[in-house]
Amino acid sequence: MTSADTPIVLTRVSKSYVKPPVLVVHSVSLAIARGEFFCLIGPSGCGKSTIIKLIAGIEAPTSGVVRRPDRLGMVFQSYALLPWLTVRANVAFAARMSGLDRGHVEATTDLHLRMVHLEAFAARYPRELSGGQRHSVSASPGPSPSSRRCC
Amino acid sequence: MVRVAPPRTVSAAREWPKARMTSRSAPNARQCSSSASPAGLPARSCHRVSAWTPWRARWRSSASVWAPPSQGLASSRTTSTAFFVANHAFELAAVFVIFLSMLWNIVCPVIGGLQTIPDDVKSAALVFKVRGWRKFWYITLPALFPFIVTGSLLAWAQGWTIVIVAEVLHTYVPNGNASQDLLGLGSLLVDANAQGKNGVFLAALAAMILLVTLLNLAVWQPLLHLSQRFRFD
Repeated sequence: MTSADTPIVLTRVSKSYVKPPVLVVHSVSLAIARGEFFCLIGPSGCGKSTIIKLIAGIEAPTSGVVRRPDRLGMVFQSYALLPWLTVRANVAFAARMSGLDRGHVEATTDLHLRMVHLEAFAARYPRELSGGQRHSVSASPGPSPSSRRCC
Repeated sequence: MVRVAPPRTVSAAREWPKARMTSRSAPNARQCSSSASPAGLPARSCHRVSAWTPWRARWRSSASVWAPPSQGLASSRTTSTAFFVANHAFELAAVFVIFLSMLWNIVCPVIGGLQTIPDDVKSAALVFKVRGWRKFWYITLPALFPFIVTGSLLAWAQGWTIVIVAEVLHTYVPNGNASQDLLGLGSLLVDANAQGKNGVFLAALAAMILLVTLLNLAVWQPLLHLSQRFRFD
């Protein structure tokens, strides 16, 4: 069974699309330990984002096995922030949705905001931030401080 | 509010098939040919009567759908409106007509608005396990808010046009007459215009313009301003 402590393990994972027919990821195996800083480097269109989507569970692999922790944070290229929520509410969103109690959510949110140095912008809306600040907000949400992050 | 005794409508409605029969046997045409030669009526007026009769007969047979069940598929608006009228729910009949005409102004923008939710936001919902009604309540519905506001504004604008027709019940109720019209700005405009009451007409028009302007300032402008916050960049 997977848990928050399980490292990310990909075993001979392949991913192909039907329309257009293309084999994006061909038999990739990798393991990422807890706390490890892992960089995936390659030219454009080589399947880096696809591998991240496979790790996050947004896409299902065509073949192979993906093992991932239950709680996973992710930073999306286009931020994936909700424009109608303040920075603080955006940061708190994932924790709120995972059903944590209010006190826990508040504490986690404060911690996240401090981690990305955006305490002063907590009451602003994403539209009022710079691109870099938006990425910081996007990087901070996660159900708990222990959750992993994929960028 | 109904101006004059509603029961008349029901009896008129029940007698409807008979009325259609008489109009189909075309007494007007016979009358025309018999009266044209002795009285020496010009041919043009005769043409107008005979040309008008089949049109009227066609309109009546399409409106009579609710009476005989064998008429098959028909405009649901006519059928349901007649249902409301037969049950003396005159206000509801008008509300129903306005509702039907307004509905699509909201539904179509909302369907288009579903396409504007970015893929990354959908993926984020997946990663953070936001599903079902929570996804609808916290992501889909707020994302659709600008489209609901825009659609409502368009629907509201159209409502002002339709209310003129909807309140004047005799324009779409079979065998209806002016006494069934509902009291409202729409019927006031139509009746004042028909009876040549220019003062009443202008007053009703001014009231309508005032109402539209005030509601625009008090409701729609703030809502449109608020909805800007809900748009994805």
